[in-house]
Amino acid sequence: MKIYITGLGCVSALGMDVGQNLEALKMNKTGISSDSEFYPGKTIFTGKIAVSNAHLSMKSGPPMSRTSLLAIAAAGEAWQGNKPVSTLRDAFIHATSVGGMDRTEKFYSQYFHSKSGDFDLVRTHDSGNTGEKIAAFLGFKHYINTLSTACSSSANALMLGARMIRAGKADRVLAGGADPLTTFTIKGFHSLMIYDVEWCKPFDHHRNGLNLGEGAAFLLLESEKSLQETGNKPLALLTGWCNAADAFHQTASSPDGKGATLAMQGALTRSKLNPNQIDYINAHGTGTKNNDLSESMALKNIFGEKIPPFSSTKAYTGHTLAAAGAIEAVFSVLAIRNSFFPSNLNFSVPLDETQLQPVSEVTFGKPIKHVLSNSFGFGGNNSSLIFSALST
Amino acid sequence: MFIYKATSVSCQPLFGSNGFAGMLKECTNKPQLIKPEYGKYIPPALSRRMSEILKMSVACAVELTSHDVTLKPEAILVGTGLGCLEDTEKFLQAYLSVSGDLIPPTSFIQSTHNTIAGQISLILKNHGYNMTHTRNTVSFELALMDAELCLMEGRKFVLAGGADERINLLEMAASYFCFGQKQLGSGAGFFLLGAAKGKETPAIKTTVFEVNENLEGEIKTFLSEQIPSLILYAGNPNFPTQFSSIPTLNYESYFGTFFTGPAVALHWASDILLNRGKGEMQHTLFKGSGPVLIWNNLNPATLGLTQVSL
Repeated sequence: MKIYITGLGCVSALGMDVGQNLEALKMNKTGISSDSEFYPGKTIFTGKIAVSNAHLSMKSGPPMSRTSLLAIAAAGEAWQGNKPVSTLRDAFIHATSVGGMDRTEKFYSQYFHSKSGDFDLVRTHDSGNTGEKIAAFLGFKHYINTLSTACSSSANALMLGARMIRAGKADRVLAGGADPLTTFTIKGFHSLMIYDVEWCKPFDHHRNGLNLGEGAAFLLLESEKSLQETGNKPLALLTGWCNAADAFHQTASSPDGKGATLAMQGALTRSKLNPNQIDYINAHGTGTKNNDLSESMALKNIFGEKIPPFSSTKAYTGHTLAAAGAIEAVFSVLAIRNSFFPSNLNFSVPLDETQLQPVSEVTFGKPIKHVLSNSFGFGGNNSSLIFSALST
Repeated sequence: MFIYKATSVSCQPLFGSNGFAGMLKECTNKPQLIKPEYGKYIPPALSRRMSEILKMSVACAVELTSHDVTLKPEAILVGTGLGCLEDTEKFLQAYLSVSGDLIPPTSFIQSTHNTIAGQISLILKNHGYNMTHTRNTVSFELALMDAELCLMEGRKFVLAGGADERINLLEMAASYFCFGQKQLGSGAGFFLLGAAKGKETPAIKTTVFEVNENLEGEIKTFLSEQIPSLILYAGNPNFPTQFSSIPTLNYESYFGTFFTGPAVALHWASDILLNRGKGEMQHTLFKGSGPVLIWNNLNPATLGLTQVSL
């Protein structure tokens, strides 16, 4: 059974829609900038979206978390032109790790310093609620859910959507995720000492950590039956998926990349593809010492010496946490449809241990049939997705 | 899907228990958690730094999987409405009181919702599908629906649970969620679920409805002609008229109120079915041969239904 992708929506530091994101990738233009908004007293690199909540907001209604606002922008783009149909069961699957913390942390700062705060700010705290706001805005009524598995969250949302379609539980699924920048997460990654003081360098020997970013992305998935009803134009297929637990450590990935290997292998098995059929890999590649080594080992486990062209796009967008899986899913589909490999910015020296060289210049004119996209999260939650061109 | 093993931690003495269903008394005061002997389930070096929600969940998971190694779960699914609140607050306090980077990271690491499922996978050394669902009042039901998918996909056993913890700040903010004036509680309910029927394994099916004008019809379809003998509920008892003569119990008055209350209610429901007609179960509330229905209307706009039958 085929899972068709018929809608894409994306907001990130590269731009406020898919078109702007594509342009930036083609032009090697990063969205990462530096300022002190989220770390007063210190200038740090982030993939900040320079659009305020006031600009993103709905004209009426109660205040929303930036998570919901970013997600509504992306989900709206992916859902454009669609509406509920009585013969189709629609599902909406959101993902976030921050939830409403962008507003909650403001409350807590007030409360911590003066023992009183604006409790209205906590109304938007719960992660599920950030998703319910989007579902209500777009009119979803059949199945509404939010997943939260840190950096693999929105890859898992896409996976759950595909599994529901395959099992006959839904016909059409809008799935993705969102996370805004917050002082909470920025301080968190600093406390772990994996936040690079410089612009991140995925897969480079001298890498020193990640830069956080914010964003949201959603993809519209449809079954064959749904496609016949909606008449939507398919863009690509979601052909492989797998989630596996590393079960090694609370935050660090295993040095032999076990969880990552299981996830990639499972996705290949699901898609019935051999490793040599993968034309491009959009890696997780956060730029941390640990992830990039673990992921490199896993790539070698699966692909041996014949690793396909691969790149991490996190030096463009920053690490957008729960949104990463879906943003990079959009980039994977764009790679297929535009026959290009996005580049892995800031690479110059390969890792000693593996000597792997990512694509370091944006490369056009490459017919791409199958793309593997990795998202590996805290708690050892590893997910891999495979996207394929329509006719292969 | 079928419940092979169940356990829970709450303000009632249910952990590792069987046959308790008739003995529960409502909590008249603030619900106080009855904690298992965590040392038996979690290495002290780990549990020292764990919050209550993590300890409860890990203890349940270990309790369910350590007795019979043939019941090996191939996936771990957790529902949590508000996640790890204690560690979330701890990290907020940590960075607000320290300037600079030298903040202990432990509470940040343990603040993410998926720490629960992740910690369970670590302790059980489980590499299978690992998922965390979070939609406030119906987080547990959605985790169960994913468990059902996992079993349909060919797995024999999965571990599924729900957990939420109460902190003082949550009580202060209660009216800003849908808790109103209720007594808040903490709890965790975990289940070893199997695809095939076994000996004394209650069958469960679950769904979530958005409350709408067709709800009664949708409920009827879901129950497929089976009238429950007992309803355990949360939120407003707005039952369909056909349920007017069915005994009901508000499980919030037994366990306190928290988003994944249905997980503990399910442990209770399972015990009720397995012990009908025995000992303390003579009370009229527990008579009848129909299913037990968990009716979760804590959020008036959504209805989580879980039907348990033998």
